[in-house]
Amino acid sequence: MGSISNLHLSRIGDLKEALTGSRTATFVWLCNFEVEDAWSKGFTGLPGGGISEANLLVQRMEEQGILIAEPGDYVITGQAIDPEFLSYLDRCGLGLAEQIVVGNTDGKPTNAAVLDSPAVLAELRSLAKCGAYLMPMGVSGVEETIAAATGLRLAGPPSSVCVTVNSKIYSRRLTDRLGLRPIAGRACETVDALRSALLTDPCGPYPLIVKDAYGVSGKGLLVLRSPDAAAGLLRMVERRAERRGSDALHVVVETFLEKRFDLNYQITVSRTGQVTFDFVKRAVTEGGVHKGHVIPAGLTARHYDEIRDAGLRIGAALHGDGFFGVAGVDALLDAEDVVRPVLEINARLNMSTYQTRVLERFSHSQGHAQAQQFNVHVDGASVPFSRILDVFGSLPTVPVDGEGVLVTCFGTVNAFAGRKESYDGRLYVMLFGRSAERLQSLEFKVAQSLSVLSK
Amino acid sequence: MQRESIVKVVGAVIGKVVSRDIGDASENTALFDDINLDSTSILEVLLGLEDEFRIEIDPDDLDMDSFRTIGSLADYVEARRPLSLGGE
Repeated sequence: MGSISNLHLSRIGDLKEALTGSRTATFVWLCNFEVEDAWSKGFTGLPGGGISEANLLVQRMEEQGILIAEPGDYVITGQAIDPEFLSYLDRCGLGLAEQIVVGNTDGKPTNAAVLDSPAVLAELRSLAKCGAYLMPMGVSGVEETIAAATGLRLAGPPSSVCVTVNSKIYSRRLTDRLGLRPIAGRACETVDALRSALLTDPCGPYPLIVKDAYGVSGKGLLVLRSPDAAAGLLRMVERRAERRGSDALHVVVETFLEKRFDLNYQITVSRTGQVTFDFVKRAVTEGGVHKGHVIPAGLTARHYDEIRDAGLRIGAALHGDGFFGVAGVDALLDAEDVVRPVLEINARLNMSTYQTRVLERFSHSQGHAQAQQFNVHVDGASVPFSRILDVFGSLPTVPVDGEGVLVTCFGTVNAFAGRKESYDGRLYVMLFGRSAERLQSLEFKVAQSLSVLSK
Repeated sequence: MQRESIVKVVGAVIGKVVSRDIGDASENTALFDDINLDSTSILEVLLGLEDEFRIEIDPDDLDMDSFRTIGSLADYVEARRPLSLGGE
């Protein structure tokens, strides 16, 4: 598959039709990054999973909703999107939705803060009367409560279905059920099963990877390099089981697989069970943490067909299990050039989903694109958006004719401004080039430009 | 084991997990902001501390406050150190 034009770009109208039956439905987007935190409640994973603090940077990623929402839609955000950045997106011709700003979130996630805001609830009730739908990134109990409290119709399935489908244990079992090529490993739902998978009847040679059933983007993942390390983990897990009086566990153990590269593909399952294969992109990851995408993925036609076939079959099975909506699947091309079509299934929008309208608008028919993130060091005061445009200098910051750089998320740069004196914020960009060489050259220039803002 | 030694060993355990020498780290070094320890590494650090100090750690008892700095993690370790190591 040699170019972006070979991809089916999942237009938002198609998505609305699949989820509501109407291409012109009004969506109220709620981009609840970290929905897995809600889905994982009640499932015991690796020890230490509760040691974390509210990640304000991840919360600010919600402003990417403005990229995917159409004019006429609404996007709920905890804080107002920077006006300079909004004006920039407008100049780029993306066409903007209305914002609904919760304001004082008091450190809570935006979805929870919505329920504490009489003004936002009133606004949502009035939109419900006009027939709008609530379109969360993923449906948890909180989104169901918002829908019930406001009358907004949910554009997704019940949270209980999402909880089932999003589990890595479900992914492994579905892979087996469909006869897809698996990653060697085992689902473990008891401490004994974990002991077996790691020590008494190991599922493969070390290193072995233990993953929480509901871990996301590198969280809830442990690489064990030896049986001694596994024994240390088991001691901790066994002590916890004894304390709690329960040996229930929800993890998977998998073998380490050398790879050529990671992949992310997306399917849309309509309410009525029609499955669309939306796209496949090369995923850039470091230690299981998402870093970006490369488009086109650089797959052969044979690989592409295999992934598309897997995606369509997975979509049909998901619908059979009660799911509809967008599902992203992580996969990889191993070092032997063999497709491993399922690492995990995510029952929600993915980072790549937010690129949908941006790619439609800016990518050249035979062009190349790349989503990337850069650290921006912030000392003291917030970084104004104009500073970002300044450092890009003469680079085209409004892509034209398939060339240029687009800033796709800026709030993450100033996520801790006023809270920390010195920290690394994150800037998300999308790069476009009419050829792989031109894209590479642009990437070099962008990295060079932004280096003055790194520590 | 003296406080200084505990801090040094805690630093060495963290350095091993993040695969770099953090020999210049002090009690006040922030684990997430200065060393860039991430949430994926927390469990690995805990397992390393159990091995090095021969203590039992219950992650359910831990909160983010113990993970602010090398000093706060050393406090946690010190409170759980077995008596047999107390005079070292």
